[in-house]
Order: sequence, then structure tokens, then C-alpha cells
Amino acid sequence: MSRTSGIAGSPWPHGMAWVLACATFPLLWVGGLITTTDAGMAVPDWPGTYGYNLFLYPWRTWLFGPWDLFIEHGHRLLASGIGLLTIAFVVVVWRTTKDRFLRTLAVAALGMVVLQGVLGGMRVVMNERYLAMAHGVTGPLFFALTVGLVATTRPVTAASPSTGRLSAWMLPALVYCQLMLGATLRHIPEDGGFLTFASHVRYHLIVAGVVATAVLALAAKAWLASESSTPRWLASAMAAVVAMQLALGVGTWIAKYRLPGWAQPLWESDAWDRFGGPITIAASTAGGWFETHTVTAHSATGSLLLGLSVAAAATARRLPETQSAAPPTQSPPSA
Amino acid sequence: MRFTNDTRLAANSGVDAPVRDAISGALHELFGTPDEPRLPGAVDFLEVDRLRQAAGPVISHTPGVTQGLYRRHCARCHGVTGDGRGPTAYYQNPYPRDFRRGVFKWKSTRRDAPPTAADLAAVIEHGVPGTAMPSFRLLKDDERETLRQYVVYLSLRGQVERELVWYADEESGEVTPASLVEAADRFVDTIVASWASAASAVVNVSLPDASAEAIAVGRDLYHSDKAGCVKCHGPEGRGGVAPETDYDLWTADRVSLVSRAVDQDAAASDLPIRPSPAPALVGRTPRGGADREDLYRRLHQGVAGTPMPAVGPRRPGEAAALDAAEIAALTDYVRSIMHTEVGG
Repeated sequence: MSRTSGIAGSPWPHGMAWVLACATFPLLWVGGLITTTDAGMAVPDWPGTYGYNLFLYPWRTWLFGPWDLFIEHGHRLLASGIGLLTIAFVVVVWRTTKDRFLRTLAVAALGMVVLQGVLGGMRVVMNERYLAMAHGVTGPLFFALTVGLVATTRPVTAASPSTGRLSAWMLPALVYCQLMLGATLRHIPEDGGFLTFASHVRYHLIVAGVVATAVLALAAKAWLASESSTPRWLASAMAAVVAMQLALGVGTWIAKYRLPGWAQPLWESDAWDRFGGPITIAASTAGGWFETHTVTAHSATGSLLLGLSVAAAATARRLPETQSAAPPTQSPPSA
Repeated sequence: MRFTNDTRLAANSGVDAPVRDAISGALHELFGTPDEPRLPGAVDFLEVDRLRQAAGPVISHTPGVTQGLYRRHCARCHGVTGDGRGPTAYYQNPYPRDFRRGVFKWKSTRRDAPPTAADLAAVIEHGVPGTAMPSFRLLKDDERETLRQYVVYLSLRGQVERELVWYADEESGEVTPASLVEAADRFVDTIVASWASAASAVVNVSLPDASAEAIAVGRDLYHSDKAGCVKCHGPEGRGGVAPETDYDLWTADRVSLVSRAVDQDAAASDLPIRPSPAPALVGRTPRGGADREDLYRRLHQGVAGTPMPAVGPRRPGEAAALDAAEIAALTDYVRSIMHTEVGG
């Protein structure tokens, strides 16, 4: 986002951008729950629900029926709400500002949310897992865009000139790559090869290390350097989220697959038993609370990290000339 | 989606590509596909409607009724064909069970008999502690029964495939799908009979009350040459014995392939070969059930498919290393150390 600053004038775009971003994150979580509980095909038709108009499906059946119907139909309702919010955001932007860049972003957000809806619908209509994966990686991208809208619509202040540094966007790009790798693990087809899955696991672990290192370096710079392009609170939040994400990743693996071979010495007692104590470790429960919410939280937290890294990139401050390593990029003129 | 043939089996037997195709055709005729299963006529203890609910992609046409249960809950570990080579198998230890041999570890029947319906149902309901096999207790009873029947279906298919491969290898005349389907009748009858009569192969258990004296007797037996437990599981069940390079049933034929340098490409692209060492018992969570009756059967018949031998008679009336009272004492001793803290 190569702009000089936020916008002046009406507070509505910024306020609505916040509402949109904050409403989108729970939608991602619910979408993740659908994948975790394999409820994606709980409703076999689209855009209706079992022949009903989406908004007219009997609410008692929805609320008190099977879990998978509840979560899938609920996801569609929530997504419709996000779509309507996005339309409202476009209208507000159009009526309150002539900023061409912001208007373009708003329309892009609308296009993306429509695309996301179509992807979700086609996933169901064609019963195709690859479309489920496409839907799953587009949602976080939309969320990242809403975070960008929050950054772009923030009030103009003299102290917040943005750098427009392209390098600031490397971290969000890396986080998104990691998110896509995670999506390939979540959406592996049942007849997929185990060598493919294993290699994706290795790449996912390697990129996790790279992301964690980059985030921790950013946080260290924010706290230790006299000037940093990233606010300390944002860098700290990213560090905390990445630490939580690493823990959730370990929890996800143990919840689903227990300990891998290299963690179990061949001739000693089962390492899991040593960790948990004798006769204390029952088999995990498929669809149980721990597995369901740990796995879903890992997926959603990846999106949260993406959002935070976009916020950091979009608001990266230009450092004073004497301290910045590279000349600032030229920003396009405001509309 | 298609079932995959057992390439290792074919490589070991030496049947060529046209014969493998004929076998695929025969299996398709007999058992259908992962989307449309069918059963040979002799199989009357499985319900085709349940197999159809378990088969195919995951979808729900009626609220609360899920199709594709096997792909939803099982295929990512056990594979679409039930070969234990699902996409997530590589880093699991132990590997997911390969159903195709019809051999299962945790059961109440004699070592060489199939499990009963209750045995498989128990594993599906309770899972296997210390492994990636979860408990499916949150599923409806009906759905678990559907999964159980589909697992048996995959086992039957795998067992028939194995017989067809060996038959085709020995057959001197032309082998066609039709000729194999006809030949399969006798294999199917034998295999079906063994599954149908599994309940008659249950090892009956009648245990005296546990006592300190019995545990002491069991400890002596454990460390004696008569039972020989100490040679593999180590003094006091603490392991520490240098692991012998021994393999379970599902690995042994792959080891044979590697050692004979047959089809190295297939060997290289398969799951890494792992030996089956005897684990330390102290503090170990029993995988096949922690009740006295479960452990008694584990000792009596050993663990099918693994190097863990039977100390009881393999069949009624046969000679054995230990008698019933001795096995009971050994059971109580083993159970006592499996309650013990590790170390110290």
C-alpha cells in the first residue's frame, strides 16, 4: 500500500472497516470448524439449504438439528452477513471519499467476498475437496484485505507517514505461504500419497521456523532499536501470536497423530506413556473437544497472524533519514 | 476413486502385468469400487446398505445422515483400500493397520482366527491408547457398526486378492477375470467361514482372584526360561534388552522384497521399514485393553501378526509353554508392573 497516510474526513469508512475485519475473523473460525468436523457437505445444495431459501430455512431445525447442519448453515448465514457488510462498506466509501486507492480496495474487497461465496458454493455443488481448499485459503486473504482496509482508512496524523516499503510485505507473503501449506495438510484427498503429505509436513515445519524467526526478529528490533518501523504493541502481539501458534501446531499433531516415530525410542517404553504417566493416556477422541478446538484454533490463528503481519506492513513507519537503510519509495498521489 | 492393488504381493509372487490386470478385474467384479461396493454371494454377514453408506465421498442428503463414513473417519490413515497407507501414515508410529491380511492384534480369539464383531467394535469405540487410532465413541452406535462392517469388507477383499495372486501364479493356463471369479468361489467360502465362525474361536477366560502370591509366581515365571519373557521385555519388564531385528507380519513381506532386490522402486516409495522390538512393560499403557481378561488373552495367544508368541495352546488340546494357572499368575504380575511408575 504505497500511500502517504490514512484519510481525512468522515470516520465512517474506518469504523466500518473495523466492523468488517472483526466480523470476518469469527467467520474464518467457523469455516475452520467446518473443515475440522468435515461438515462441508452437510448441506448438499447451494445457494439454498435443502431446497429452502438460505434465509428461510426453519430456524428450529437449524438450531436444534445435527451439529454439521448447524455449523454449515450457520456459516452460510454469517458469510451472507459479511457480504452485506462489504456492500455497505463500498457504499460508505463511495459516499464519503474520493480517494481512488481506497475505492479500488473497497471494490476489490467486494469482488473477493463474492468470489469466496462462489467458491464455497461450487465446493458443495461439485463436491470437490480442491475447491474446499481454494475456499479455505481465500477466506484468510479476504480477512487480510479487511485489515488492510482498517490500515488504509485510519485517521491522518502527522506522525504516521507510511513507508510504502515493499520489503515490509515479505512477512505477510511468507505467512500466507505457510497458511497455504497448512491448507494442503487439512485438505489432503483421501487417496493422496503419504510421501506427498510427509513432504508438505516438512515444508510446513521449515516455513514455521522461518516465520517464527522473522516475527521474533521484528519484535526484537521494535523493542531494542531506538526507532522501529513497527509499533512495539503490534510487534509484541505478533510474537505472542506466533508463540501460541507454535504451541497449537504441536497440540494439533499430538491430538491427531500422537507422537511421531523419532520421538519414541525403539527399545524403551512408549514415550507417550512416560510423558503422561501409567495408564493415564487414553486414546484421543475423534471429534472430541480437545482435538476439534486445538486443530481449529491452529487454523484460525494462522489467519490472525496473517492479519497482524498485513497491519504491520500497511502501517510500517518511515524511519528518519539518518536511520533508515533505504530511500523511501515514491507514494502515488491521493485521489 | 479406485482400489489400489497390492503391488508388494504381486512383486513377491512374480505375476506379470496382464495377470495383475485380470486380478483387478476379478476383484472389481466381486467387490466393486470404493464408490460402489458389492459383495460376493457367499458373504451373508455384512449388509450392502451399510457398505454403501460407508463408501463414497462424504455428503449428507438427509440432515443427520452422513454418507462416506469411511472416507470421513478412516481413509486418511488406513487408506481407501484399507492398506494402512493413507496420506497421513508416514509419520505415525505404529503405522495404521493394513486390513488386507485379515489379521488384527487386539481381539479375543485364537491367534490365527479373525476377530469377532465385538472385538472390532471395541477398538473402534475405545481406540488404541498410545497410538494415533482414536476413540470413535462420539459417533452413533449405528455409524460405528457401519464402519466395522466396511473394515471387514476391506479385509475380505484383501484376503481374496492374496489368494487370487497365489492361484494365478500357480495356474498354468490363461488367466482371465472370469476364470478368476470362478476360482475365487472356494477362497471366498473358506475366508467367509473363518470370519463367520470367529465367535467359536474366542479364548475363554476364567481367572482366580488376584493375590500377592500369584504375582510372585508370575514374576518367577516371567524371569524363567519356561515363559522367556525376560529375554525380550527385559528384567522386571524394564526393557533395555538389545533390540532384535524382528518384523511383524505386515512388514515381513516388504523386507523380503528389499532383501531379494525385487522391484526396488516399489520398495523405495513405500513406508519406511520398521522392526518390531519388544517394548518395556513398566508404566506402559496396554494397547489392547487393560482388563485382566484382555491381558490374559494377550499372553495366552500372543499378539497376532507380531513376534509376541503364545504361551498358551494355539488350539484346545495342544501342548503349550504354560498352563492356565501359570498364565493367570503371569497376567497378574504383568498387570502389576504395568501399573508401576517408570524408573526407580
